[in-house]
Amino acid sequence: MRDEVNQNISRLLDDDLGYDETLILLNKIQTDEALKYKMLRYQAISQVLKNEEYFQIRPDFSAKIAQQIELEPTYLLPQRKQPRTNTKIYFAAAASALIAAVLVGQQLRNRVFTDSNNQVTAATSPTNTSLPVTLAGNRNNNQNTRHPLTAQFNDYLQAHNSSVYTNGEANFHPYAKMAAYGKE
Amino acid sequence: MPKWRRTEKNNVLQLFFLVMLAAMSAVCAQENPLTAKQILEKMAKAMEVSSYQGTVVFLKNDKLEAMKYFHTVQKDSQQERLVSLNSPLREIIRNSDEVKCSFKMTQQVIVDHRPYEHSFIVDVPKNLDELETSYRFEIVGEEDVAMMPAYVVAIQPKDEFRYVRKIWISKQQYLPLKAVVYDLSGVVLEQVVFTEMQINRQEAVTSAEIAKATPAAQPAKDGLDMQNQAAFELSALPQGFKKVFFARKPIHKSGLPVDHLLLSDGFASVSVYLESDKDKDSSDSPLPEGIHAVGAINSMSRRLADSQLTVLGEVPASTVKLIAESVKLRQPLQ
Repeated sequence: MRDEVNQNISRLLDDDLGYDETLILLNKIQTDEALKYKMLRYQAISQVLKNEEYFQIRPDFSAKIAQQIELEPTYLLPQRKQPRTNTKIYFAAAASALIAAVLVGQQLRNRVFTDSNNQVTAATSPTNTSLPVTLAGNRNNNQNTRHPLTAQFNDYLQAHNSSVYTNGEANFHPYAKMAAYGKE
Repeated sequence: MPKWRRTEKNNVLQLFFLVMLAAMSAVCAQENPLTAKQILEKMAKAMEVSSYQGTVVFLKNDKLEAMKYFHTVQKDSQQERLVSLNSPLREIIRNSDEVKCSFKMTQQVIVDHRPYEHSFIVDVPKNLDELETSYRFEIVGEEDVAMMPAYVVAIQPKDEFRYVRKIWISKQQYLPLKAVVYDLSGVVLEQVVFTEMQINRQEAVTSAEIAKATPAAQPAKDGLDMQNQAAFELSALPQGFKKVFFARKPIHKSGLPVDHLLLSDGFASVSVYLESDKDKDSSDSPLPEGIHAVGAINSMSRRLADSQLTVLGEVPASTVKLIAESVKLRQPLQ
């Protein structure tokens, strides 16, 4: 029985547990302090294994949310039906908040990690074209399109200014030797 | 009082007032520092007469290139030399209007004529008076670059047809240490920066010598003489832009001639290319029409009868559009 609960905690952290099972598990966790701390411990291990980083959620995180919900002001407008107080709703809300906190936290970590990886890849990836389109170029004017860098356009760039010599170009044409511009 | 005594007293008073005047002039000179325009003019002169070297980093078209830079002045001639620190290893030498690039691995040597350029670092016209219709010069701060104190001079365009530039100019030698081009929203498009610089002390020039330097040779006009042969003409140009160079020459492997007109407002330059499609290889697909961007370069291509027109330059898209739309065919290309 205990192994099953442990397994379910692990599945919850892996986002692999069904909705009904999750509610049952969270109900158990709410009433069992040992399980609550086990859940936090598993979460910490999971985070460190996945991201090599750890940020701690306060043990009373869900309790505080439940408390806040209880403190919500009562609306005094006339109501047709007297609202029924159902403690299960509070449990469900608190459980949802806890799941959301865990999942959002994980996604946030993953996104940061992925973004930083993308940046590194973008910065280090070799370019095939001799004159790549720059991000600055795109920022420059959103209505502009990336230029398909044909040999013709490269020739134009080369004739335009001497940037071709200072930006690592290796394959530009030696046409310049023939250039005379009427200089007799 | 005897007359000779009165004369002596007057002389002493005159001397006193002269000394006071000289002292006040010195104080006033200190209180009236150089203007941004004066600093830019000093920089243009210093670049002609100083011998210096250093490591310079170019950030252009999203590429970072570190190179050794040497500027040598001997008698009336000056030479710029760039040696790449990374592959492809190459040496680029500018002697007057000739630029020679030698690749170490392939032994390939490319010789180019660029009479309209004077520096790999930053091209600043000697006469800034004409540019004041298009640009405003401001000192926007003082910073250290390559551990050298520098003025930060902003070259602010007065319209939206050109980009903002900033140049960091060393306070001691008036040499450019850093130059940045920003787009209209303030994003850095191009950057050239020295990471270290040494002035050749033996040949280092004083501020007074910089002031005495003779004006730089005017850009070669040879090409402009031919501009009447161009197959096109321009009906309108943004304020400040002038024709500085024209050539009809083969610039593609095909060897077919291309008309190339270079326009400049002193800082920004725009090239207008026109080439006929008549003898073109059918496999050569024409450049797509419309406005495109490559780094700081904006371009616009369009069809003009049987020819293709392309206007490109390190200017905003609106500038290339205005110029491209003002081009009209004069005569069919030969």
